[in-house]
Amino acid sequence: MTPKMWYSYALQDASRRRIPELEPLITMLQQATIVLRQANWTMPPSAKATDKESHEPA
Amino acid sequence: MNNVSITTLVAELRSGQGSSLDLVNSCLEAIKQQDDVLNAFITVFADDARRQARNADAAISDGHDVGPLHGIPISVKDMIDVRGTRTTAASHVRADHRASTDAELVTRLRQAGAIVIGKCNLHEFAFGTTGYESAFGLTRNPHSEQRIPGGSSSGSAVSVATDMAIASIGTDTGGSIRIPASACGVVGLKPTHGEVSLSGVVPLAPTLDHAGPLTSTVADAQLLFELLRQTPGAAPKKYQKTLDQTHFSVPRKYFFDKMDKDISSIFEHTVHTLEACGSVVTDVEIPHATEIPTVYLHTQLPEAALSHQLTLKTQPELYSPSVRARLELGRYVLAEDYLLAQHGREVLRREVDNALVKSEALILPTLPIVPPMLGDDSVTIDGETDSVRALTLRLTQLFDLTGHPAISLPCGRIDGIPIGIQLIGRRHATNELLTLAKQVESVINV
Repeated sequence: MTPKMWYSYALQDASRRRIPELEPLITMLQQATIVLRQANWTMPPSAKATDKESHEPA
Repeated sequence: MNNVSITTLVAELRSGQGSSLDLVNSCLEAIKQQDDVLNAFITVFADDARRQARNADAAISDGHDVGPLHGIPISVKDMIDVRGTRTTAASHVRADHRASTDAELVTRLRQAGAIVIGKCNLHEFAFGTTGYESAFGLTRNPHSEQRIPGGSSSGSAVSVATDMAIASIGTDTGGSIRIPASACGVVGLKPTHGEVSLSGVVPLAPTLDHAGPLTSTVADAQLLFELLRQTPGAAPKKYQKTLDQTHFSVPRKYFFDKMDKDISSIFEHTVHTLEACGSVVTDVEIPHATEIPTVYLHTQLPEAALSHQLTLKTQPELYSPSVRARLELGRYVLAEDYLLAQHGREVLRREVDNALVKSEALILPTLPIVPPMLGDDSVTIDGETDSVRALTLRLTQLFDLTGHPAISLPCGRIDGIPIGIQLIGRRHATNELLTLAKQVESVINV
């Protein structure tokens, strides 16, 4: 589902459920969802194994 | 009493220089004198605490020594079960709750000899950073009663800052131990995720939730952490290096983009102090830092909605409107976005791990703003206005997402209001972080 479609459905549902306080929060969440989906989430290499091992639980 | 370590107090009790009953009575008197205004406590166990204190004193007279917290009065956030008493989470939703057993961390405190003196006020269900929303009324900052004390462990921090308790236990899902610790001028530790049991603690967002101590000194935080730690195996090693062998990293990009100038100034002064001690301080980048709030939002909201699924349906009117609205919002997060956020979270975890390869700790302020006035919803910095919630979470929430241990300790004041500095260590190296924090504490003049 695109953020635009989700936004429309979410606003309708909040209105149907009579929770008007949700409207600005849904707008904020839509903007955050766009940021989340547009980010480049390429996984970085993990920290050097030797260093990590020395800090695992004893 | 303030800044006298628990170890010193227990030694005084053992040597007969003081009594547990005197300590408990002193805390109860502080509560009586100050709590009508500050509102740090929801429940005070005055009679039970005095009875336990008399027993503790009698045990010492008889040569029995329970443990390192023998006779020490400690408060706990009212998210934590204490047998036979209510755990309200500062909400009308839980008005009828009674705990049948102690939370595991309370059991550990009692086994070490602690006396639970009362249960502290908080932001309702720990779902806020101001301490402003509570079914039992707002909590005030003891250093300026018109300002927020920070939250959500607001009462815990106030109780320690005002000698109403020698130490307290709070919870931290986005910064809820460190934020009030900073605002109230005490030490607050969020251990590595999973190190302290959450059994018997009201959940908010389970993969983000932590429990940890708020104390007057780092030494006290370390003592309590070692007692609360549930990680199996041998005791973790302690930090062996001195400050002149220590490398700190400062993640400036994003973290310092919105910051009060006076806080920046105090932070730079602290950095200069560490450099004068021989520490190396360099900048480091967390490449996905700007995405932290969205990853946090898409993780915390649906997990919190799930924690409240039943009561949101059956008694929504019992929540305060703003807390209910944010819990309801969590029901609208799509599964694909929650899962994408978990991938982003792993990316961030690796980036923090990588930032800690060449340095022993990250260092940054705990809060980018001076604790705002009660009721303020937003703060303007350099002409740009942001919500108090977003700004107060800005420097802390990453380490709840990644699970790294983080500690806030006082580093200065602005117009009498405490300012905290935050140190972040490697995962599963909380004790090393604490030993380093003790060294930092010793060179910062507050």
